[in-house]
Amino acid sequence: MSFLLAILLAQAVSNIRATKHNLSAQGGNAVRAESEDQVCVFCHTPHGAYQSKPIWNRNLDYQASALYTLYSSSTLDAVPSRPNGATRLCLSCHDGVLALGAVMTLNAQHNANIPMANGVTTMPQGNTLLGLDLHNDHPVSIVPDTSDPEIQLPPVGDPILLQEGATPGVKNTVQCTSCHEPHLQTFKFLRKDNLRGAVCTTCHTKQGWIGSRHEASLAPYPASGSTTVGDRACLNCHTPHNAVSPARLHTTANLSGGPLPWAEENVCLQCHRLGGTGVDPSRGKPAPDLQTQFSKFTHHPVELTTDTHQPEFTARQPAPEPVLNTVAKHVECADCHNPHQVQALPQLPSSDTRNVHTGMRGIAKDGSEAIDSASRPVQQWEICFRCHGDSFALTIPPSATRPPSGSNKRLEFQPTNRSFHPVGDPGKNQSAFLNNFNVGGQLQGNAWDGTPLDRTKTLLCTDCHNNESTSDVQGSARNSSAGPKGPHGSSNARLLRANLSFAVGSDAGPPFGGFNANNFALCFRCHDVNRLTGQSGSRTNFFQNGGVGAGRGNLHWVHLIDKTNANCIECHYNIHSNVEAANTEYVNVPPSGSTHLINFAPTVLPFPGNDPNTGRRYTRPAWGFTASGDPYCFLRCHGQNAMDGSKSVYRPPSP
Amino acid sequence: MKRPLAIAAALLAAGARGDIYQTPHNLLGAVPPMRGAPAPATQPLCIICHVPNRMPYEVRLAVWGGPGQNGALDVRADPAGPPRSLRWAGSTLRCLSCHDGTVSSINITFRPSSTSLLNEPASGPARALSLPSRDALDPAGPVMGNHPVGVPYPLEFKGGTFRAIGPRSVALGADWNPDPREHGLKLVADKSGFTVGPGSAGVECATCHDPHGTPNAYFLRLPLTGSQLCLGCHRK
Repeated sequence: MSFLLAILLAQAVSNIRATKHNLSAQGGNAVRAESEDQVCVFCHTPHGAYQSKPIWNRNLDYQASALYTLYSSSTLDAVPSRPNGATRLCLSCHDGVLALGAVMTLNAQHNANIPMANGVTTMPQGNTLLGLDLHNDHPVSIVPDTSDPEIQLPPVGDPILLQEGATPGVKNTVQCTSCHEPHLQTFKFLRKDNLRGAVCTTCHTKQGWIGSRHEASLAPYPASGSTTVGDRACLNCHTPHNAVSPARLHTTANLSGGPLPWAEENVCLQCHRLGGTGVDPSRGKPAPDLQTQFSKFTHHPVELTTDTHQPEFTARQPAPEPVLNTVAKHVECADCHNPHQVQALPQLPSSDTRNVHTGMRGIAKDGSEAIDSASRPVQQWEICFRCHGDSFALTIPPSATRPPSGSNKRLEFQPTNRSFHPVGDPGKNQSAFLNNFNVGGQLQGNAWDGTPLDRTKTLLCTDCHNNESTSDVQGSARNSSAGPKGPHGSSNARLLRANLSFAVGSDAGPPFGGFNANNFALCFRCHDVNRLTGQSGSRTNFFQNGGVGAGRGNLHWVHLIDKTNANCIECHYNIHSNVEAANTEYVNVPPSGSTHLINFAPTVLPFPGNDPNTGRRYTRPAWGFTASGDPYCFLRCHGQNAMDGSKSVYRPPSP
Repeated sequence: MKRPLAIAAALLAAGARGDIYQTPHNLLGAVPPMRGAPAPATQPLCIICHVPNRMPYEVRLAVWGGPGQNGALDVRADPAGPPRSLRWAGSTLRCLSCHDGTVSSINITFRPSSTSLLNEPASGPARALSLPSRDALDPAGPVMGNHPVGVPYPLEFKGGTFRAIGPRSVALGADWNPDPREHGLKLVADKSGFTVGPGSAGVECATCHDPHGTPNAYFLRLPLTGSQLCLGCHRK
């Protein structure tokens, strides 16, 4: 008895007369009968019912031929079927076909019609009218596929429960009545409160959701509201009925300005815009405003495509979208972030490896798929390689207005390369000139991990490609307090964190009339401008310490200021690596030696003569080492043939 | 529509409790006359349903099941569901002896809706045995459903067995009133006798209907207004 009483107390007690389902004239609802005072009769009759179990008072014959559109999604494992079970009774009003008062039997009359007040016949327009189009509603009459690791059956005793479906007597099916109890005097007739997604997560288990940034958020939504993002949980992005974006039932508002309100980015922009949420007291700021980022001069063009993206982070195998994006050019927020697991940075303690890409899959440097896990966190560059790696030509096709066109960044950052900016792996140039500024080196600021940047450290893609507001600090952009961080958008070309001129010279002369550090602001975030442009002292490896012209000193100074007014990119054209050095002849570079990221711009020309060091004539501008091991150039630039392989031998000092 | 309305009006005119002669169950044809139910005026009304002990009876009690039936039927609560053996008993057997639409032309709501109790399709033998249909019914219509009878009631929240049907497997509490008898409804005992207790209480036709007459329509023990009858048991 006490057990039953406990159950009784735990369960919400029905009171249909107090609900909107009380259609009687005395029910007091907007939708009500003109004069009928019975309550149950709109759905049930003790005799002359449509069928005996339950005793339904609606003629459901029309449903056999009703043209229902069923839910479908590329991530759905179960197979939707036409409405069956108790769902049929719900739909007999909510699909809008039958008049609300049309009953099998009323007061011993068959096929009776109960007149409704205010001229109402069928279900009035509004959220409760689902119509025959059920593809934007949570699937019903569907047997859950528990082979999907993100689906579990409701625990025994849970208010949420499976119901009878196609097989009588077998309760294995999700019906309307799995979540709703039509007699309950609760919010939307729900069997339990959906606070923090309690209803949804009864069946939907999303790995990493608990403790994710979205789950933990205390930010009010709407901004002036009293509910929080964490409390709203699933309903921030999904809605069980009448979803604007049907597959995966996303709720959206048209915020990107595109023609299609269901565009994927709109889901995120509901919160991720200026004033999208209130301030999260645990973080002291609202949800990052990404709408502003995506409207900047350069940005990842989330607005460019709609209905092309498919999720790759769900448990469904094979994923609807390959991790290596070879199918269709597009980018959406969910191509880089898993909203069920995403974390803000930095994580505390630092041993917590979760980050903004947690729960994603990427492409590792060896070309294999990298699946995020606690023991093997997915790395930022692995996310970038989804599009900027082996399939870069799909996403960044050659363009006359954007030389150079893209390159395979996965190959660019291979640790076996002779020279590359050290994304993911320490670089090849282990010269002490690349020590931190504080100990006499050229590199300034801190690396992404907060320790002083030097030759042993690695970079993130976002150390160069980032919101321009992160250029307020030296070193890695991650150490900036500005934001939102990430390669969402930038006022600079190529999504760069700071300005970098892409002007190159020609035979008529150099690109610039004088030195302006702002032309190379990006480089100078890490490479100390003073040590590159000072005339003397052991600043870099590009230094004339002997031979012809000995005493000229710092050759970076010579090229940037003294003589040439060159651009960094004229000699470091592809700054990612030397893998695609299509316009460079490397001479006598030892297999293990660094090529110092020297690769020449297309406007740098081969020297019109034989190299005195090799006796050969090249078709490309050359850089390498003399027989005695001194570095030298052999090329024509800015109309000058001065780089003749004799005068252009230089001798860096020991650091 | 005239005739159904007239019948409905007649039903609504059912007399007060106990005055069975003022109800449609006065099969002797006094007030009101029931179509197809001629009874000799010399017959005592009660023995149509009740037979005193040891009293020789002149009127045979109607036998459930009709021609070719043995009193046990395969019925399906859901027309698409598995057949389940069900044996009517007690007061329900007495009601169905007329209201099954096979023995009698009288039926529960409208003939041949009573075939739905047999759960036969529209072309089935039970329906064929019925008299010609009335205006209000659709002889080609679906098999019609009725509220279950011969089923247990969770009196005082105690699930029990009734007529060999076990309790629902889910928690029974909140959906049911602890004792509908407080509202004037009737529960019956599973075994012989008049003591109705938790664990063996059940629902029969007489739970909602008093065939001897009530102040309400359709011999109902509670009014339909505000669905008081349904809510007498169901806490919805």
